[in-house]
Amino acid sequence: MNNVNLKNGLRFILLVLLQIGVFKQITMQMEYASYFHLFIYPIFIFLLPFRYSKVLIISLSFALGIAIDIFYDSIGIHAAACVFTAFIRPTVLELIKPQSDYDVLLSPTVSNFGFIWFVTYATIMLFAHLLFYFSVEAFTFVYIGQVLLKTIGSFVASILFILIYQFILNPK
Amino acid sequence: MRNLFLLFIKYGHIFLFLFLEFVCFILIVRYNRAQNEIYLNSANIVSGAIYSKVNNVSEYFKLDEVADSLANENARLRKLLYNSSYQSVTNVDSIFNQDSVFQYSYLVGKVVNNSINLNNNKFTINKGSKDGVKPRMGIINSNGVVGIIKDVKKNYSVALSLLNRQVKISVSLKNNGSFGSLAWKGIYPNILNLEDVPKHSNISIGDTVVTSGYSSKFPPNLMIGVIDTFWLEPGFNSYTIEVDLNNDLSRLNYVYIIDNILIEEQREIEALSQ
Repeated sequence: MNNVNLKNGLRFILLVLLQIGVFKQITMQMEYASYFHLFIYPIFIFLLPFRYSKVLIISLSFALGIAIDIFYDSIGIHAAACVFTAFIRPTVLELIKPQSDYDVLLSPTVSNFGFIWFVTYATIMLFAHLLFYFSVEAFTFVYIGQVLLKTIGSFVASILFILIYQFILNPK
Repeated sequence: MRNLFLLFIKYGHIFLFLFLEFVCFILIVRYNRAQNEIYLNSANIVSGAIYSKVNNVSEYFKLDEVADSLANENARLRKLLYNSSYQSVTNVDSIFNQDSVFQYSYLVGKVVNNSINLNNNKFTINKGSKDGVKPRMGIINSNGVVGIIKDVKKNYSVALSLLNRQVKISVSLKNNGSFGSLAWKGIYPNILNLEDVPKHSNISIGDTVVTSGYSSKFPPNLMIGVIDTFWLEPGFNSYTIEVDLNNDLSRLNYVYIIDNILIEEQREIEALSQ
């Protein structure tokens, strides 16, 4: 129990540091950066254990979003996207429920439910997260085409790193 | 209370989600310049649209007031017109002197009751003795002569319409100045008869009929109508002329009551010489 909380706490700090220390810097160096944002921090929301309540997950996601926002100078935008992602998480999990039901003691990881399941799960969650994020960033429906382009570009770039993260730091 | 608590346990995450998104929205608008500008702009667009809608509606309710003020303004302007002033100094040695006093002042009234299909038609105006209305004052509207005040009470007065057999108005033809008197024969609400135009005067269909200014009720040159038809009855020395009325007396709304300030003087001198 304590172990799980500690692990998630460490993951929170690690992902914030990775995001602002590495991925933000990479993005800033890239030429077509505005279409290929690298976002790895949403995986924190994906990997929260099943036993956490919906309210706790939403609260933790809000905290994560605000932490990222502080470094991105965009107070509220990442937070809004994180809260949204956390809110749809139970619905997505229900949608792609495997034959055997979820074990309440586990977390939704590759090692627990397999690669295909995790890719499906991460794809839906990340796409929703990015679409919401870029919509909020645009803050208007005028640039809907650009929002979609950014979402797709950033999704392709980010899902790679999220899967790599899962394989390197496979939290068993 | 217990139900409320259960409701909150069951749907607490939805409330939290909505609350946090709201907080995020506030934060975004508060701390991000680009989004703040978009927010302010669209807020202005929305509030502007709402305000203009509200204005449209409230303006509709104010229309009455606006029409009143416009009519008052018209009365004031008519007062300034050239034919409402009386030359107090006559021309001396072809030097035209601009000194003049106002001879006619105009009072705005609203027609509150009207008839056109009786033998002797009358209408009621919402102005009375407290506003300075007196019997025998002339009444016009923007299209020309309408009638003459008959009875006056404190707040209302009753006027004889042009479509009344008791009313005779002194008129003249605009193009040659020959004059006659106008009366209604009681058939059509838009046809009046012009009498006493001598048969030597040169008239034609379409000639404009205006007030003559002899009657002391109306200033000269107010439009009345145009000649519709005319003929000479055998054995008569004057034409029988039918005049097509310019005014639509069935649709009276705002009218101007004419106060001839010099009328007492004119009547006095006329009575004296009889």
